[in-house]
Amino acid sequence: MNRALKFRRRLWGVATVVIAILGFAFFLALRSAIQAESVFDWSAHTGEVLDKISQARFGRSRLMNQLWSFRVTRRPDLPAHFHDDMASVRQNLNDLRTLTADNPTQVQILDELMPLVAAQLVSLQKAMDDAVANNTSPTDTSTWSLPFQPSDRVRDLFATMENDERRLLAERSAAVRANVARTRLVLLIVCVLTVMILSVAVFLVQREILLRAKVEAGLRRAQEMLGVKFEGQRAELGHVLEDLHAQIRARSKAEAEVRELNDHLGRRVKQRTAELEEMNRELEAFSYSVSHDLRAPLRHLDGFSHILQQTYGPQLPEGAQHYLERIRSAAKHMSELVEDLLQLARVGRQATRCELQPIRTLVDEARKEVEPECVGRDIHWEISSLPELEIDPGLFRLVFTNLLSNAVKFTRDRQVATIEVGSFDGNGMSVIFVRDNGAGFDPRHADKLFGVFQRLHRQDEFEGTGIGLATVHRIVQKHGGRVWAESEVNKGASFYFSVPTTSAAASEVNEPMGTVV
Amino acid sequence: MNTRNEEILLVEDDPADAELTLMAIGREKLTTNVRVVRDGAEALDFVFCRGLYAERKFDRPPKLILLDLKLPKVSGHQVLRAIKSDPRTRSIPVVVLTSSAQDRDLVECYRSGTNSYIQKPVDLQKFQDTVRNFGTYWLQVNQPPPTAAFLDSDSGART
Repeated sequence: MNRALKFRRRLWGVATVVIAILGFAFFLALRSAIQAESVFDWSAHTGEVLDKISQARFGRSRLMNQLWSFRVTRRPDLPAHFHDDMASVRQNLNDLRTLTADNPTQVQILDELMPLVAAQLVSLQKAMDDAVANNTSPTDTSTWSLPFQPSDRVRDLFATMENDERRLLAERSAAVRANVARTRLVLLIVCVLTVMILSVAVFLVQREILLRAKVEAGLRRAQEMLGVKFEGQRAELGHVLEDLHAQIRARSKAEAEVRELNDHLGRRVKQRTAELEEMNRELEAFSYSVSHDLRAPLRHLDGFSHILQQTYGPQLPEGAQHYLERIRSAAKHMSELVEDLLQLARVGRQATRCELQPIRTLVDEARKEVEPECVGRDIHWEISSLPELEIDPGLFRLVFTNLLSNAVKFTRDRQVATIEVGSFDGNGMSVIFVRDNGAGFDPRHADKLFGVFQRLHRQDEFEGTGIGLATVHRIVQKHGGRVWAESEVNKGASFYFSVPTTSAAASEVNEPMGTVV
Repeated sequence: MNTRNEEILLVEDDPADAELTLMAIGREKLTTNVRVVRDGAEALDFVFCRGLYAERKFDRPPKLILLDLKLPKVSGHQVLRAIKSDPRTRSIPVVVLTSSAQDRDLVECYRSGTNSYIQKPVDLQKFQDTVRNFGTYWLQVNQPPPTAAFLDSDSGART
């Protein structure tokens, strides 16, 4: 248990004991005082009783004396005095009865005494009355009889009463004295006890105080020691804190800069996005306009020159016919350009919808599409086994249509054209190739191959728009792949493209904008 | 005003295109009864018998409407929607004849309820073949809707 608590409890115990003892002593002293007071009352009472007894006792003698004096002197005032004294004695006796009513012994004595005294008094009264009536001369002593014979019994009874009363007083006084002596003893013991207890308490308190002082001193010393240590550590901590603050300042400054840069970048990105979206909208509007508005005049050029040819052909000179033919082929070429450009734009804008697709199916579909170009040709197709890839089938059909169409076109001077489609794996990518034995191209110009409107052949050698391979490039790029070509003039050409074997990367590379390569 | 029962309503703002189309129709001897209107608003007036065409009757509609999409005032899309959402005109066959081959246009036209969608070929020969094909089909092969189809009696039907 806690030491201080224990001490407090002990102190409370001591205080309780001291209070109890003092309370007891006070009670005893109070009782002694009350008893002493009652004894005082009693002694007064006893005094009064004794006084009455002696008055009653000696009143008779005085009455007797007055009787004798009257008989001798015949003083006229004496009968009145006698009468008064008689009444006084009776009164005294009555008072005595009242005063001793609580004492059965006295009552018993009085019961016996009262009739005797009353008889004596009656005799006295009678003698006095006779003396007054006789008017005898004072010398005639014959008639002077004793009114009553002195009685030993009455004297004894009075003495007994007196003695009894004195004895009572003595008894009570002795009791009080004994009580006082006891109280004194108890008070003495209490005093000693109190002194002892207080001494113990003082000792305890002093010990506690000393102990506390010691503990306090220890604490102070410890605190001082700690303080010294703390000061040292605080100083050290101060340095560390300063360093830390410096670091924090530097960092928050850097963060603020980064944040500002980020904000700036965010604003830039937002702005650029808005711009790009605007551009995209414009581009869409543009391509829509191209698709709709550019085509109409081309149709009219072709249409009306055709009608002219049909209707007035025979009447036109040969030169005019030639020019009309030129107009029509120009319209046709421009129409193809428009078509291809629209396709390229569409490819750029369109989001890819990838699904697992057997490449062989796409190749077969593309072959069907280029069939019209193969009419009257001897083409040897070599299509080896092809993988399944996660790609947008619509876009890759377009890739193969372009590549196969090119292969067919550039092999048209060959007696027997060979077009090979195959694949191999490399670096997590599937590589597909289309190889032909056609005209080929000068590898020095290979970098121009996939640019828009870039052509490596003259229009009169091989017609074309220069957009097909750009479209292929665009589509492959959108799938996270790469496209390249190998060739030598007149030794055929090989076009390769790669697509991730796993689909994961493919969809991430989508460019949202319809930028034209 | 001409009160003849027109067989074809040609909605085309480009006079050259209109001429080429009419020429192809005439060359294929499909009909000589073609009404040409130059914008969407006039097309709607004609179809809904109002304005200049107030004396026309709903129960004598054209057998076929050839509709360009890019039109002044009211676009071809709006015209198509108006025709196909009104019970009195919904049954008239509409062929969208346009230069556009945009997916957007195709989707919207079919959703609006076009009966056919044809991109005008650049090549005249192909164009003439196309006109012959759909002209023959809609005017000769196809069974036209009866008069009852043009009365406002099925307003509870889907719109």
